[in-house]
Amino acid sequence: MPYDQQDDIPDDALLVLFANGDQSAARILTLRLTPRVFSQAFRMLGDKAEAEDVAQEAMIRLWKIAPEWRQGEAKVTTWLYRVVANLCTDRLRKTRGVALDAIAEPEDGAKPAAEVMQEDARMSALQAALAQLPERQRQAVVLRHIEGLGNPEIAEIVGISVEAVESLTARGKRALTKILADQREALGYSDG
Amino acid sequence: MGDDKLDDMMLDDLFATAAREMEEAVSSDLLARVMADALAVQAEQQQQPEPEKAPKLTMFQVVVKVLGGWQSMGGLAAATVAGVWIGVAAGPEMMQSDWAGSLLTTNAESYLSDLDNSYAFVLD
Repeated sequence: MPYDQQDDIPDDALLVLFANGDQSAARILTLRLTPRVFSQAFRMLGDKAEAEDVAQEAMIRLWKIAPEWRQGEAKVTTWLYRVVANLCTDRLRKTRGVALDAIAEPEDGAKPAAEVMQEDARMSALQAALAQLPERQRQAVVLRHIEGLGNPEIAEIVGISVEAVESLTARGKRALTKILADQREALGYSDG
Repeated sequence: MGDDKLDDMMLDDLFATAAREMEEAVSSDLLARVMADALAVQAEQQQQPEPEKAPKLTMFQVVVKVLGGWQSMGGLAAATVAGVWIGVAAGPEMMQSDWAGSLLTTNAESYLSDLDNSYAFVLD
């Protein structure tokens, strides 16, 4: 099947194709879902190598469950985010203390050096601030504001009520603002 | 601009940058690893024999299953027999139609049709 046609197919249908031995379904799902699971893992763990391991492990679990996947029963991304959340929780419990300085190097050579440095500094500051949030708050903030998920989906992933998600994200955002307020000017967010 | 607005703007911008940056930050090495796993798991799954299919049911077995199994069928059979017995025991006055009545009051001709060849159709 041509690439552009498969690109419109929902995740769960692609997973069924994968289970039937379709290799291009494997490719589309890899390209579509790996960045999302890696992003969530990286924002939770703050370490690129660890986030890659978690992303790979989560994707292996997806491949393995494919033959048993029942179309329309659950959203593939919700299931995956939950797997990543659990894997991150396990890792965080094993190794308390997240490497705050292990931030990915930006790979975009087209941007001017000053801009790259500022963006790098901003991402380091955000990652350091996120790492200071309690685990569930961080989970909710990352899923809501970086992954762009809705509160009901986050509630399903984290296993709490929608009201609890609203409260967690609001508190998380307030805490981040407080942590980052002192660095606002240094990060280039000023009034002029 | 007030501090609160600046803080909101800063956070929104940081979140947006983080979301955009992650799309770019995924290494080709990770994608290659994930793809290799996918193909390996897929090949393994394709080699495994299909799970043994449930034995095919006959039409009668399907009907028994639909009606709730042998226990229900026993009840149903008992109810049917009881219905027939009540009908027969009540006598001809309960039988409204001629056909039903003939079940109880069969005349001699009916028996003859079974025994005598002259009642058979002659084709040539």
